[in-house]
Amino acid sequence: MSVSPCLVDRWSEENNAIIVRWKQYERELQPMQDVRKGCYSESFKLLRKMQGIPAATERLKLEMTVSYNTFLFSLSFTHPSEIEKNLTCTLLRVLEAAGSQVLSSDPFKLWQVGLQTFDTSVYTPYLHKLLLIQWLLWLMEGQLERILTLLAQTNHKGELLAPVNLQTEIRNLALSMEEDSLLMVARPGRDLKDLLHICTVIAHGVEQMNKEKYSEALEAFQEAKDRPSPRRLMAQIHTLTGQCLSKLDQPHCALHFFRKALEVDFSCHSALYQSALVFRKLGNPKAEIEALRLLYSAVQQQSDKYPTSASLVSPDLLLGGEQMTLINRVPSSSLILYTLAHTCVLNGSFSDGVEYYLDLLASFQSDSKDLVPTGVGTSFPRIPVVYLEAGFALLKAQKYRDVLVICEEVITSTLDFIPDRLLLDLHMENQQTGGPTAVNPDSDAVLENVDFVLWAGAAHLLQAQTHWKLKDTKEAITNFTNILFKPTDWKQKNLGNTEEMVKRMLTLEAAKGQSLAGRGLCFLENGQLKEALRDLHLSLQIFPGCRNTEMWLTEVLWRLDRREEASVQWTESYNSTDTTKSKNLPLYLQAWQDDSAFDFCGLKKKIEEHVQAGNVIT
Amino acid sequence: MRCSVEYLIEFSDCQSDSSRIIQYDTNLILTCGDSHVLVFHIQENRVTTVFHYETPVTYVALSGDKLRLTLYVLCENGGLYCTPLPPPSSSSASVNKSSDPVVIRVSDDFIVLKNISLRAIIIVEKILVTLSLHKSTWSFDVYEEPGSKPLQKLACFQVTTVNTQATHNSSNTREDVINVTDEDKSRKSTPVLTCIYPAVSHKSELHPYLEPRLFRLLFGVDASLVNSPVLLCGLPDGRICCFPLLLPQMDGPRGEQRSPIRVLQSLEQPIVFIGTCVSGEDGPQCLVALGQRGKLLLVRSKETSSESKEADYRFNEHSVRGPVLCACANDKYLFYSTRNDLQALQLTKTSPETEAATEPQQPALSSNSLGVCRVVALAGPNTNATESLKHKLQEKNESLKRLNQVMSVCNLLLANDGNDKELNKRMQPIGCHGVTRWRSLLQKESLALTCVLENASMYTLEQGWTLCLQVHPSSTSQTANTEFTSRTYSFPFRKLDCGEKLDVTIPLERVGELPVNIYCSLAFTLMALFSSDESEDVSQLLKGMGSISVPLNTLTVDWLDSLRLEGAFSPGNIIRNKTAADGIQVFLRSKGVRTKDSAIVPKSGPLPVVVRVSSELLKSKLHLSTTSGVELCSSVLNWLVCKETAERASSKTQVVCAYSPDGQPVKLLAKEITLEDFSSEGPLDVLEIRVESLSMVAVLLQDTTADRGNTKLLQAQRMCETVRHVESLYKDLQDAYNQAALGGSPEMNKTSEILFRIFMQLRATPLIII
Repeated sequence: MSVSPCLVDRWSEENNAIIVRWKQYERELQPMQDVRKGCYSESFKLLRKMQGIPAATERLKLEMTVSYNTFLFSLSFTHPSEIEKNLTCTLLRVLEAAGSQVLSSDPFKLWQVGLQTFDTSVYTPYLHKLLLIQWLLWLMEGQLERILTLLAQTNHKGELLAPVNLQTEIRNLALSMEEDSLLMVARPGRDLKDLLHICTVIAHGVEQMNKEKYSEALEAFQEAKDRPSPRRLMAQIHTLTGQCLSKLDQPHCALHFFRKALEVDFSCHSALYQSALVFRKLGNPKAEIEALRLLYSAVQQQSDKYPTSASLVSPDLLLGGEQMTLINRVPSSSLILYTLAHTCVLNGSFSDGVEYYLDLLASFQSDSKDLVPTGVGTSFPRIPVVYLEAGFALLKAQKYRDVLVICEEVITSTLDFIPDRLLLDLHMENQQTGGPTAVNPDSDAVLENVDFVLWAGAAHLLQAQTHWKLKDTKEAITNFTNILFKPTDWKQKNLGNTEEMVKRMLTLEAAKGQSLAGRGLCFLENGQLKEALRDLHLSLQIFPGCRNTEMWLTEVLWRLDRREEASVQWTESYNSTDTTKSKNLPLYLQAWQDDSAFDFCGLKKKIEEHVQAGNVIT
Repeated sequence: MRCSVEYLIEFSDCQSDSSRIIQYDTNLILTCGDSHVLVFHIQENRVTTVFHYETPVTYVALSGDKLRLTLYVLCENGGLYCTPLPPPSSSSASVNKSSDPVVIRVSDDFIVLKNISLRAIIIVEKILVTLSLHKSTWSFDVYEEPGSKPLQKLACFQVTTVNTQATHNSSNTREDVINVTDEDKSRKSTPVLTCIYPAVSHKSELHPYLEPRLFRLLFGVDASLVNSPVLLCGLPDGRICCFPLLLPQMDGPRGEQRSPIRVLQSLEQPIVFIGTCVSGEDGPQCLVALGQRGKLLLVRSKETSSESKEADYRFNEHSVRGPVLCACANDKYLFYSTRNDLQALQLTKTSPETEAATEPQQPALSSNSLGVCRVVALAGPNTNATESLKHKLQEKNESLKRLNQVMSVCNLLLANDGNDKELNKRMQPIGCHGVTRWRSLLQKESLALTCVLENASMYTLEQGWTLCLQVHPSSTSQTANTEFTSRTYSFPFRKLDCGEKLDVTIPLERVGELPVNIYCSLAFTLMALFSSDESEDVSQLLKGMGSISVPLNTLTVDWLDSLRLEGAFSPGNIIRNKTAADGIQVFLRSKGVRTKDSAIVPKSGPLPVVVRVSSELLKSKLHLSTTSGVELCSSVLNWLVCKETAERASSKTQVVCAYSPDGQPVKLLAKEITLEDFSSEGPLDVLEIRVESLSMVAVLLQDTTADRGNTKLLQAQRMCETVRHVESLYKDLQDAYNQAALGGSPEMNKTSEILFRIFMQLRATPLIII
C-alpha cells in the first residue's frame, strides 16, 4: 500500500503549522500552559495518524521530526518514564522501517543498532535529535551514568566501549545537527544540545559536591561557566562555584562568586543565602544581617508568583532533581525572618530585631503555606523560644507593655505542661537505678517537661525584669518569686544523666540565680537589706561567677555596716572575672548581665578609703 | 427513640466503601461508588447538577468558601479532578427554567494530579494534602492548592505500614464482620482524613475544632501558639496519625531531626470516623474516633481542679456494637450506622470517664436506635456549625443594626430636604457651615474654607460615613471661559456622636474662580456594614457600587469672603510674595518696556460700584431691630464682611477698608438714602452700598456678589429710561465688537478700554434691590 505523496505534504504542513503557532507564542512570552497543551495534543494527534500506517523510509524524516516535537511538547505534561516508553516505541518503528529487527527493548541495544543502521545516512540528523531526547530524559532523572554510556556509544559509532569521562565524551560529541527547512522543529537540535551539555556538566558537578569531592566539582563548574548560558543558569553556576570554594575554605573567593551570581541575576536567592552563611562563618554580623535582609525581601516579593519559564526545555526542568534542589535550597521565609531577627538581637540592633520578631509572630497567624513543615532542611526553634526571644528583644527596646503580653502568652500556654512531681520522679529514678554505673537516659518526655519549666521560668523572669524597669518592685518581686517556687523544690544533687539534661539544668540554674539576684535588688531598693543579703548570697550559690551580683552583695554588706566582709568580698570579686558569659546561655536569658550593671565607682571609692583607713589603724 | 425519616431520593445499589455525602449550605454532594457525583438541593428536593467522570469515584472533598467552592474528586484511574462547583444561588435560579439536572462531563483536562496510589485527600486553607499508599509506605504529600498548574509540592512525610495480621486474626474470627482477609481489608477500606482547628475561625468552616486547652495538650504548645490546624489520619491499620499542618519543621529535644508525624493511638481496626464532640464554653471538649468493629476512642481533658497533673487528658476506649459503616457527630451525639440500624450515642463531658475509673474493662456504651437501616454514608453536621451559625447571626444582627442607623440618618436628612429652604437651614439636624480664612503655608498665602459638620441629630454617625464637599463655580457663564472643573474632597470619619462637630479645611486655590458653591453631602460605604473578618461573604457583591449619598446643605463662598480686613493683614505681605512673573514685569517696566496687561486699567482713580438695597428688606432679613440709619449701615457692613449678625458689631463705622486677594485696597461704604421717585408707593429708604477699588478684578467680581432678593413694581417711566440707557450702551458694545472684529490685533488694547468703559457706564446706573 503506498501513500500518495500529497498526504506526506499535508502532514508536513500540519506539523509546520503547529510549530509556527508555537514560535509565535514563544516570542510573545505569555502564560503559555494552554498553548503548550494545545500544541502538544495537536502534535500528538498528528503522530497517532502517521503511526496508523506501517513505517516506511519515505516518511521516516517526517515521522522522526513529529516525534521529536511531540516529545518536547509533552515534557511538562507527561512523566519522563512514560515519554521514555514512547521513545522506545518510536525507535522500534524507525528501525522497522529501515528493515532491521531488534528483539530487545533495552535502550542501549536499540541505540547501538540505530546508530549503526543510519550511520552517515540522510536520516542521521533526525536520529540524533531523538538521541537528544533520550539524553534529556535521563538527565531529568539524574541518570548520569547512562548518559555517559550513551554518549560514548555515539562517539564510537555504536560500539559499546568503556566510557572515559563524562566531560570528555560530551566535548568530543559529534552530532550532525543540520536542520531541514521544510520540516520545522519546536527547538533546534543544536540549541538543545548546548543546553543539555551545560546542564549535564552542572549535574555532574553537583554529584561530585554531594560526594564531597569539591575540587572535581569546581572543575565541572569551571567548564560550565565557559559556555554561554541563560542568566539564571549562569547565576546558579556561580553560586555552586562559591559553595565549593566555601567548602574548600576560601570564604573570600566564595563571596566573590556569590557576588558575581547576584550581578548576573539578582533573584538568585541561594547566592544571597550562601553569602549570609559565609559572613556568619567570617564573624561579620553586619554583612550577615544585610544579606539576610536582602534575602528576606527577595523571598517575600517572589513568594506569590512562580515564573513559568517560557521555553519548552528550561534548565529548571533538566536540573529539577533532588540533589540539585537540596543544594539550592533556601530556608522558608519564616526561617529567614527568624534568623534575621535573632542575628539582629544577638548583635545589639534591638529595634530592628523587635520589628522582625513582630513580623514573624504576625506571619505565624497568616502566611499559611510558608509554614508547612517540609521535613527536610534547617529546623525552626520551638515556638515558645521564639516568643521568649521576641520578649527579650522588646525588653531591650524598652517596649515594656509588649514584653508583659508576650510573656503572659508563654506562661498560659505552658501552664498545663508544668508538672509538680516530675522532677521529683527524676530524682527518685536516679535513686532507684542507684549506682554510679547505671546510666539512665532521660526520656524525651522528661526533657520536654524540663523545657516547659524553663520557658515558663524565663517568661516570669522577663516579666519581672520588665516590672523592675518600670520601677514596680512589688510586681517584680512576685514574678521573681514565681520562678523560684513555680516548679517543685529543686534539690537533686545530680543535674541529670545526659548531656542534654545537664545543659537544661544549668540554664535553669542560671535563670534561678538571676531571679534571686533580681529579687535581692528589689529588696535592696525597698530597704529590706537582710532579705537582699540572703537572696544575693543564694543567687551566688546557685549561679556563681556573676560579677554584678558579687558587687551588689558588697554594696549590701557595706550598707549593713559589715565593712570588713564588704572589703573582703570586694577584693575577691574585683580580681575575679565574670564567668557567666562563658556559660552559653540562651538569648532570652542574657538580659540580666547588662540590666543589673553596677556603677562601681562610688563603692570602689568607699571601699578603698575603708581599706586605707584600716591599714592606718593596723 | 424512633424518628420519622423523609426519603429525599432513591438510589439503586450503593457501595458502602465509596459512598460519601458532604453537606454545604442547602446542597448535598453525593457519590455512591459509581462514576457520578451528584449535587442535591435539599429545599428543592432535586438533583441540580451531575458530574460525570470517566472512572468510578473513590473520594470526594470540598474546598473554598461559599461563593467559590471547588470540588475535588479522586477517581479509580488515580486522577484527582478539580472542578469549580456552581454557586448555590445559581442552582436555585435555574429551577424556574428546567428541573432537569445539569450534566457536566469532566474530562481529563481537569486532572490536577495523577497517581494511581492516591487513597484520600483533604484541602485546608488552600493546601492540598494527599494520602497515598505505595508498596508499604503511606505518604502524605502537601501541595499548594492548584490555583496554577502544575501543582507545587511543599512537603512529603511518610509512615510505613505495620503488619497487623497477627493481632487481628483473633478478633477476626470472633467477630467475623467482613468476609475479607485483613490484607484485602486494609487495602480496600479508605483512610479517614480530618483536620482539626484550635479555635473557631472563619477559615475552619468546613472543618471541626477543639477547645484550645485540649488542643494544646494533645497537639502541643507550638501548634497552639501558631494556631496551626492539625491533620488527623485514621489509617486502615487502626493507627491515628497526626501532624500540625502549618508549623515549621522543628528539632526534637536532643536537637535531632524528627518527623512531624506522631501516632496518637491505635484502635487496631480500620478507622471509620474521627471528629469532635461535646460542646463546652470554648468549643468541643472531646476528640472522637470510631473503628469499623465498634471500638470507640474518646479523648477528653481532665478537670483543671484535679490535684495530680501528670497527664491532663485521658484516652478512654469503649466499644459499641459493630460493624460500623459510617459515623458523624454533632455537639451532643455520635451517630453511627451499623448494617441494620442507625444509632445515636449521647456523649457527655464526664460520665463515661468516671465509669471508666471504676471499671477496668472497656465499658460498653448503650446507644439509642433511630430505626433507620442500611445507612452507608452520613454527612457530618460539624460541631462548630452551631457555633459559627451563632457567630454569623450575631454579625448579621450587627450589620442590620448598622444599616438601620444609616437608614434613619438618611430619612432624617431627606425629610428636611423638601421643606422651605430657610426653615431647613435652621432646623437641619446634621449640617455644615463654613468660615473662610487666609492662611500662610510655605510663605504662600492661600484662602481656605473651614467646614464644620455638626451633628445635632439624635443619631450617632458610625464608622463608614464620609463627608464630601464638592466645590463648584456658581455661575455657569464663567465656567465656559475658564477651565474650572469641580473638585470633590472626601473626609471619611470614624464616628460622630450626637452633638459633636467635625472640622475639615479645604483649600480654595484660585480666588479668581469665586464665587463658588460648596455642595455638602454625606456618603456611606456599605462595606462598613460588615465587620472586617466576615467580609468575605456578602460584601463581595458590593464591589464598585456600594455606597449611599445624602445631600446636606450648600455653602457659597463669594468675593466678600475673600476680603482681608485692614489690620488683620498688611499689603506688604502680598507684594513680597509676588510670583516670578510679577518680578519680571517690574524689571521690564523699569527698563521702559510697556507690558500689555498693565495698560488695560485706565488710571482714573478708584472704580466705584454701587448697589442699593431696600432698608426694610435688610432689616427683616437680618433680623435687625435698629431704627438709626448709622447703626443699620455698620450692621450691614459687618454682616457683609464678617458674616456675623450685625447686632454684635462693636465698631459703628460706615466704612470698611480691606484688601482684595491681589493686595489692592478695597473700600466698602454704606449710607442710607431716600429715593423719592423710585416707587409708585412713595419714597423708599434704601441703603446704598458702594465698593471702591483700584483693582479691576475687584470691581468685576463685585458684580457677582449682590444677587439676592425679590423685585417689586418699579415706576414705569424710570424703567423705560433705564432700558433706553442700556440699549444705547448695547449699541456701543456692538460697535466695539465690530471694530474689534475688523481691526485685528493692534487694536486689542483699545477695544478692551472701550469695553471696560461701557461696563463702567452700565454699572453707574445703580441696581436697586427691594
